[in-house]
Formats: sequence, C-alpha cells, structure tokens
Amino acid sequence: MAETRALYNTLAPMRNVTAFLTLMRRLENRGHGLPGMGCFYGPSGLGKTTASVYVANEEQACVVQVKSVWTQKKLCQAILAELGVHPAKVIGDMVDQIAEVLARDGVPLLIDEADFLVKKGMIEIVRDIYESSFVPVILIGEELLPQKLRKWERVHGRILSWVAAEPADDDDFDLLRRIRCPEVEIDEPLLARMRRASGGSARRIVENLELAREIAATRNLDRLTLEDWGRREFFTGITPDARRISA
Amino acid sequence: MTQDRSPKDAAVRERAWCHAQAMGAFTYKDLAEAADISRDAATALVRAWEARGSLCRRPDALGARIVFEVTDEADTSCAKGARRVRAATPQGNMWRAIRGLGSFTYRDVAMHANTSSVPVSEGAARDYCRMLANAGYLRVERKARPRGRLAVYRLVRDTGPRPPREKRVRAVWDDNRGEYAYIAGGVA
Repeated sequence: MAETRALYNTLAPMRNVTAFLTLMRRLENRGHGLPGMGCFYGPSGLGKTTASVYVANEEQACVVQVKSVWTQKKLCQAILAELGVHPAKVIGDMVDQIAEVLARDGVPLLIDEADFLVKKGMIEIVRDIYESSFVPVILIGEELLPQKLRKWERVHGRILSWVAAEPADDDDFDLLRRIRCPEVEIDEPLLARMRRASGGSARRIVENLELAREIAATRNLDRLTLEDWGRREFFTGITPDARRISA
Repeated sequence: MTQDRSPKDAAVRERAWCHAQAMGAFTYKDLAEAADISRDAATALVRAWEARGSLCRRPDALGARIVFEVTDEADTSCAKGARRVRAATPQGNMWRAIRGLGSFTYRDVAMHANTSSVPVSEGAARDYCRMLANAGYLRVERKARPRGRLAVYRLVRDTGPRPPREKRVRAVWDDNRGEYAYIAGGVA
C-alpha cells in the first residue's frame, strides 16, 4: 500500500526544500568569476535541517553539523571523516586534502549550525576550503547568521545568494498531510486548528499529524473530527507560563 | 614520436578537468597552478581536451597568452565522475537521513531519503530501521504499539558516512555446541 503512494512521499515540493535546491543549482551553475558560497538561514523549527538532509540526498553532498565545542582541527577531521579520507596531521594539510576530494568528486559542502564557526572565529577556514576547491559551499544557520557574517568581509563577499527559510504555508501543510496521514481523512475545523497551533513550523505540523494518525489508528477511524481529538493539547511549541507558587 | 606527458592518473586528470570547468576560461599556467600539475602536463591535457572539442581558443587574446574557454558542448564528465564515486543508493540516502535527523520514525526516514533519482519506499525504510536496531545502531526511544503508534528511534552508533548493509553470508552451524563455528568473511 505504501509503495503505490511513493509518488507523494517526497519532500521536494516543500517551500523550503525547493528554495534550498534552487540555491544549490544556482551555485552549481554559476558563471565564471561569480562567488560560489551560499547561506540558508532562519529560526529553528522551520525545517532547515530537513531541507538540508533532503538536498544532501538529492545531490550526494557532504554534510557536517558543527558542534559548539569544535576547534579548527576537529572541523577538518569531521569533514574528512565525512568524505571517507584518513586525515593528515596538520590543519593546513587537512584543508588541502578536503579541497582535493571535494574538487575531484565535485561534492558540494553543506555546513549546518554555521553560527558556531562565526562565534569561534573559524569561518575563515571554510573560505579557505572554498577558495581551493571552488565547489558550492552552503552555510546553514540561525536567523542572525547573515548579520554575524557581515563582520567577516572576505567570507561575506563570497556569498552569492542569501536564502531565508520561510514558515510552512497551506500547500506545505497539505503535502505533509498527504505524506504523514494518507489513510485518514481529517475534517476542515480540525485541520484549521492544527494549522494555527503549528504556527508554520514544519516540525510541529508533523508532530500534530502524527498524533492524529495515532488517534485514528488506535480507535479504528478513517475520518477524524474535532470531537475525536477531544481535549488533547496540540503541539504548539509554546513554553508553559510561570506558575504562581507562594513560598 | 613525442612523449605523452599528460598525467597517467585518471583522478588527477578528472580533478584538472573540474578545475578547468570551475575557472571557465584559463591559460596553460592557470590550469597548472590550479590543479597543481606541471606546465607540460597542463599543456598535454589542454591539447587533449581541445582535440575532443571541450575547449576553444578565445580569439581576443593579447600577445603570446592563449586563453582557452570551456565550450558549451563540453561534457560535464566532472559531475558524472562524481556520481560514480559517490553513487546514490537507497541505503546511502536512508543512512544520511538517519544521521541528520537524530530521533525519527521510519516514515521520517522514507520522507527524507526518497529523492528524484533514488526512490525509497516506506517499506524499505521500515526494514532498514529494524535491521539497524537489531544490529545495535539504533535505540528504540519510544516503543511501537500494535495499532497506530510508530517506534521512535535514535542513532546511538554513528560509525561513519558509509551505510551499514545487510549481507547474506555462508556459515557453518554446529548443532553440538549451538554456535557458528565459522562465518565467511569474519565474525559478526
């Protein structure tokens, strides 16, 4: 049954995925002399990582997710591990190794959580990698990443395109509903509540839809209404208010 | 007979071609410096590419500098080569999705791994997740219920970029001892 629906089960038409893929294609097909770095930014929960995973699969790209404690050496080692290459001992040599493999195989490089690179002043190393490989390099980060990069003029100037992640719209919601809840029909008032509660966050939409599918499956329904949902909370991502507790 | 000085190593030739494509227009010297090969090797390569029609000489060059341009008809063997080196497979896509997602259900994996070039069905994702869970790569974070609720997995053993694969192996089973006496290709 799942197989017949394979056609719908792709994230490609999602707004942010399309934007990311377009950015990648622009960088790949850029004209001579144009810079080849890109930046994809936005608040968390909008599906940046989802989009990067999908695009990495589509393009067979190399993805690294930077951690807050990483040093320059660790970053190089992580990229080399991702490329399946045994790292050299010195950072300078590692950068050459990375550039060589990326350029030889034509592999684009995606760097998630790039904010940490800026914070620790490691962003120049990414420029080094780009300058010696000329493959597309995309930095993925939080909403303020472009502002943070402004300080690093040499990096900033090499960015061809800045793409902002957008909140999920109604088409995205519909697509996710077809992927995650194909066997259940959800009536319009419940859908509307869900849409509002999710607030454009792809992650919350998926959580709410998954809960809907669960309710329908456990109670053997093929149609779900607001009454079936009952008093259950929606996933809204809002933190609870402070309680008034007298000491 | 002149000696062929073009690089013997296919990887070097391919890398040089990638640099040539990246630069678009270049001289012998540019290519030699970018691809880190000798001037003779660069000259030999450029002549070979020119002969196969991938390059043309830019007419407005000044003096002795000959500038070559990658023509539109040139094949993008760089990209094709890259596909071969990093061939897309269903397992590769699923493994990449698993490593990128952190905690997930098999449906999440299918959704992220199913691309235009490599179709991944939900059934395949379910089998792959089960196999990885049995092999100790994934921990079940929330158990599945018979009806409805899907298992939520978390990656606990990230061994690297290459996807673990299920293999069928020949083995010798000893009924007296209740163990495998020999497993072809190493012990699990």
